Amino acid sequence: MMGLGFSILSGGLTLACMILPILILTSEQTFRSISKAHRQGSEALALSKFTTLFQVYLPCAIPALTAGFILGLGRATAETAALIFTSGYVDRMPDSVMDSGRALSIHIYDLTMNVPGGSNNAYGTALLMIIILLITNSSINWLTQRWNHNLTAQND
Amino acid sequence: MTNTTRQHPHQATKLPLTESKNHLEIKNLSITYHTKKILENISMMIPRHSITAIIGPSGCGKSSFLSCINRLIDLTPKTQFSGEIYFNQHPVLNTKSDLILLRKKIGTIFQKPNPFPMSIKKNIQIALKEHGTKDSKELDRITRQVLQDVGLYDEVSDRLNDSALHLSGGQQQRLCIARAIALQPELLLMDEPCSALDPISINIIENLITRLSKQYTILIVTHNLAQARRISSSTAVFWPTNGIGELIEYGATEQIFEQPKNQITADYIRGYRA
Repeated sequence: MMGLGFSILSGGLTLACMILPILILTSEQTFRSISKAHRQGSEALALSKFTTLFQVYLPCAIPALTAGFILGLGRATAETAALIFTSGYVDRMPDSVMDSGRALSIHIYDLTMNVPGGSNNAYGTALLMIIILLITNSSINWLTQRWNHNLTAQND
Repeated sequence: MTNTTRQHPHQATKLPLTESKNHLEIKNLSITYHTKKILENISMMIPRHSITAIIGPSGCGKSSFLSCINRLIDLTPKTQFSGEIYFNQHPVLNTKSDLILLRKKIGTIFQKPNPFPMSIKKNIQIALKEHGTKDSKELDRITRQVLQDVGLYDEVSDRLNDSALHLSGGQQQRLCIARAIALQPELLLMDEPCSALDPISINIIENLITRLSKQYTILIVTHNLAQARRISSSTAVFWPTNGIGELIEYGATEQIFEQPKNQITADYIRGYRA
């Protein structure tokens, strides 16, 4: 449609559109739930909107924003059907983001449905996917805890 | 009324102003929220370096009154006000008034301690940096100074980089006071600063307020009548008449508590009315 054809880029953009509602919803909820006290405190000290957003609100919001991000990430990784028609499912190494390629989920789908005796490889791919998700989730978790290690306690 | 004229040459303000005898003048202030009037016709003259307590039952507009003075009321939509407030003879309720300067000159302490979710040091320095103090030595010096002023320095000197949220409620409130006075305000507005604290913390904060009044003009809203009596030099009694807050009596604290002129005040301070 936009001249992208079957490409990893168009697949990525499609996934971005799909997880956007999750991200918007969690972000909106998060910023709404930040206590009015912080806003008042910041106004009373005549802090600019920029400082308030980046130095007061964002540290409060990071844990919830990350949760939304992880949810979105999981949703995107599990997506199959939308990708068949956007990024395609050729099984060669893509040359660039404009090239067609296959996501892990499509690989699993293809191995189980179209390749006789491909189940073992499909399980292997699924295991790899689980490991990738575990690594990303736990490293994001670790990062947020590091950022907030001294901020979360007694935060009522 | 205690309209004593006091001159404090050391309190030279950076604003291009003449030293007025009253630090804060409120004339015929009325506040309307939506269509409902919540405060009517408040007039008060507040001298420099005094502690004025504002007492009265809940819902009589005391907090709205405070938020008019620093214009935090702008955050509440559909609120209208009429009348005049002069801070250092500068009109406050003017669409053109410089809110940043106004809020730098008027520190605000809220009912619930609200330190930002960051380190103790950063809590104090964030506003200083915002308003132009860049030198880190100077920042550290001011941080140390204001923490000493509120008597918190010895308690936290070894953990300035720890989160402010790890402090106790009383310590958090003192940190909020330190944060406010770091900007060198002239007036401190306190909206029930002790109501969320334990008796020992209250005692510490009361002593602090008394000490601070040597340098700052203080306006404190409190539900604690004994507290108003202990720390303030003058007292204003707000009372809701038909749901509209009015100033029913204003004068020296001693007079209000010993010989109230208004019958409602007399009943209220004796605990007959709540």
